Amino acid sequence: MPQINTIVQLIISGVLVGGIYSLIAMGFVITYRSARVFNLAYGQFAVLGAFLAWTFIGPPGSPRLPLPLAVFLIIVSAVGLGLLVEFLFFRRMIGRPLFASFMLSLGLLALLHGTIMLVWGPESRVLGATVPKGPLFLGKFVLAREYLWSFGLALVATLGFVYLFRRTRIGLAMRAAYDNQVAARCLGVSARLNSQIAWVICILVATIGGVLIATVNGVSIGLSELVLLVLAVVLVGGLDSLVGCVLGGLILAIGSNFTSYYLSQYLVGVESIVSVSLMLLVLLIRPDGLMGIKMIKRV
Amino acid sequence: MLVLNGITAVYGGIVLALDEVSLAVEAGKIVVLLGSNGAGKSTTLKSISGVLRTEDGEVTRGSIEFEGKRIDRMNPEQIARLGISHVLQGRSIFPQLTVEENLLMGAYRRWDKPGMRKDMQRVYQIFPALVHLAKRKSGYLSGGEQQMLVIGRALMARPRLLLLDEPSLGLAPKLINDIFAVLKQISDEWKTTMLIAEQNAAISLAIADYGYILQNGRTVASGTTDLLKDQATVKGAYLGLRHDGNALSQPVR
Amino acid sequence: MRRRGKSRTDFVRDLAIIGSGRHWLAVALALSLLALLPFVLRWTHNLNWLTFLNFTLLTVIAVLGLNITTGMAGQLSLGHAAFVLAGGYALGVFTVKLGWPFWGALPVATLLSGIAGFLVGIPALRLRGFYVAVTTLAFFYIIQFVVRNIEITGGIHGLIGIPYPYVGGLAIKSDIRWYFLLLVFCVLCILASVNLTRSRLGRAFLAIRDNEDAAANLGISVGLAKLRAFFIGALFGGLAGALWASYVSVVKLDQFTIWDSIWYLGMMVIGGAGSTAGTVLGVIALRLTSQVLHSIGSSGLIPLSSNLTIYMTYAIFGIAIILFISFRPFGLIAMWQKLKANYKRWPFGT
Repeated sequence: MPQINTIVQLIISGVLVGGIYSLIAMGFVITYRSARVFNLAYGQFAVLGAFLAWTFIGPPGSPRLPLPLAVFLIIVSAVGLGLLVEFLFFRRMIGRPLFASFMLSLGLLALLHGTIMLVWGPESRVLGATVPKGPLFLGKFVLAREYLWSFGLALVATLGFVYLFRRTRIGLAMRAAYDNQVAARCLGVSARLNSQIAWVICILVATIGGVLIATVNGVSIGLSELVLLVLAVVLVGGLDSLVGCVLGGLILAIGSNFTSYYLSQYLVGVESIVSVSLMLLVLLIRPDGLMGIKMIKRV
Repeated sequence: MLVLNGITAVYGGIVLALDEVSLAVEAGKIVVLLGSNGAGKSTTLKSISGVLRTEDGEVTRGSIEFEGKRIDRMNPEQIARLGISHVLQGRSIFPQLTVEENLLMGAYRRWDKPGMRKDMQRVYQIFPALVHLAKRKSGYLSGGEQQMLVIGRALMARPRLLLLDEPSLGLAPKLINDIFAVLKQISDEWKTTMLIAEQNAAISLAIADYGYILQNGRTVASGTTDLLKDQATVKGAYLGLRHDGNALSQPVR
Repeated sequence: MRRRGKSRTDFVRDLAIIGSGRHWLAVALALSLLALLPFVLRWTHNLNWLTFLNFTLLTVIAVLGLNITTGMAGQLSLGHAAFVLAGGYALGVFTVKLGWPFWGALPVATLLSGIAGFLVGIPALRLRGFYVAVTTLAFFYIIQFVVRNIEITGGIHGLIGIPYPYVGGLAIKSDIRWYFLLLVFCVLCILASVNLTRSRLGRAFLAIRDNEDAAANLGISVGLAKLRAFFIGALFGGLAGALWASYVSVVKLDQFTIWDSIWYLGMMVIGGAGSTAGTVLGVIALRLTSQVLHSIGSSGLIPLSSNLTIYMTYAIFGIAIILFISFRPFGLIAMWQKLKANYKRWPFGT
């Protein structure tokens, strides 16, 4: 029954891709929850990360630096960049209205876009080896090795984040500050530290996501379209829920797998519209997303 | 322990909320801050804890000293680390966190696990109503339970100075009595210094050692509680009837 | 003695758009200067600046719409370019494909765009803040998708040969004639926008922006006001798009991208969100910056390829938005007002 096999194949690869989507979405959600920034520049951070990775790793076949060193440098620069962005731009936004930080992220989006293009130019580049590539045959089904690796990485990161927020003191403090920032500060929770942690995580995750996707699609400014997907995942799952990221990522990845397989020959660009349509549908039914925190209101 | 030297607080660069307020709190004492709505009680507490700065306000004149250290330019988190715990007005719990997590947050700056566990036991002993709610999201608690939780959370920090903003707000008379009894008990037991802002003069003067009366952003009277209790000014200031200040028997020092 | 400041004696006078004789004089002066401007440009052989002026006027109309939806009513819109696009395509389809006259197609195109705004407002009824923003963004992509996939809009090739309008037998063909037509539309839109802030509806917008729950408690029908905010904002956007399409005589998908939505927001914020005068200022400021950069790039003074100029424009716009949000959150208009107040009080205080 080829029909069933196709469906299973689409679901399997959907789950793998969904894993990456959820990982990337988590970076966004954590920034929203802990730094209170709706970070529209997120896609540009992913692009920046991918270009930095390309700078350290180089094109395939001619590695510039040994891979462990390159990975180390990528991580260091992502952390540094996170601290820098927090210090330069978003520290001033603590306690300001959400609209202000939203507009600031839009400004950052334009600034990063212009800067990346000035430095690296518009042409697409192929990224050298990061994770193993190639097909892996599992009976009747084919898995892409790079997706499998990315999925594994996403899984580890997800568990890490859940541990951070559910089991550690600083995670508890971050959740508390999301609920009531002033009260948390009165107990000694540093708004600045929260913001720093959030930005480091944000840019680290954006970089990892950018590199993973660039491994498959190449490095180019087009990667920044990712933010659209992230927004869809995040809003389907719920703007402030990590579990929602996983759910949203899986739903969107599997959904777009099916639509692009069955519909793309009839409609131009249907892949790009699937995620936003699914998102609109979910929002019409559940305004807070599937797993979003419903603000408790008692009168 | 805590000294306010003629502080002037302004919101948004325009609205004058405190006009040269001075007061002193001695270690181990309970001091009460009386006054009507808008008299500046909350603003006084917020200037001390630094919360004023998060609300677009600032102390423009005068100084605030805590154990000889100037704190009027510090962030709330820095001030909290000095051992000042501010219980904000209106039950500012963390609604998505469970009762237990709320209490743990109180001890955010402490690292002595055994001591924390002991204090948590003590808080549950003081507020037995919270025991069965430990795993419940605190947003779903009743008003009284939330008020207990907020005070319990502040105690978990083992503060050296506890600032309480209208602990009686919106509570049933029976509960108000209980809460003030608890405060008195804690003060005796842990020697915690307290500065309480209240509208309910009768009950707060009953447990306090010293009192200040605020009116329109100024300290208009002060004295030991016995003294204040006798004076008609308490009633006058509390009801916000007098705007001259001439009739006060004891001038501001 | 010179009069300093305005003393208003009654509410009607306080609400008046033009408060005093001196104010009238200023407006008349500004309008006549604007009317003289093209002749000055012709005289100084700078006619290419007219194209810049015309696009600026079009952008002012579009951003005034966004200012109503977002600046006044607080409904974050990342999809405002979609309304401009919808207006442009509607005009293109009616005139090119259906052969309607320009003046018949313009109001219908504008209205259609307004209805599109209304439709976007519907999901926003239950949503707040960023959810609204992303809904409008999604809508932008959906409109793009629809335009690309239906036949009547010419798919990816767009529509060409959109006719120019006639005014009393006069063909609006040259830049200079377009300038005057657009100036009239622009002034009308500014008037409408200012009038809106004085109306009951305008006050309802401000109320739901500042506190939705409180507005609802005051008896303002929040849902209806939101829908109207989107409708009116989209009307402005649609009008701008329709005029735009006719001015450049083609309409294509890449004319209005998501970046335009972002620039509109940036212009609004830099000018001063919520203020009509601020919006106009913001548009002029950013358009002027980009034009100056462009002139430097094309003059050959500094070796810049056209691509590099574009990237620099992105970066500089980004920095401008960041600086304004960080240090002057109320925009150019607030800076201007402060300057004016200081001037009036001089030499007393700063």
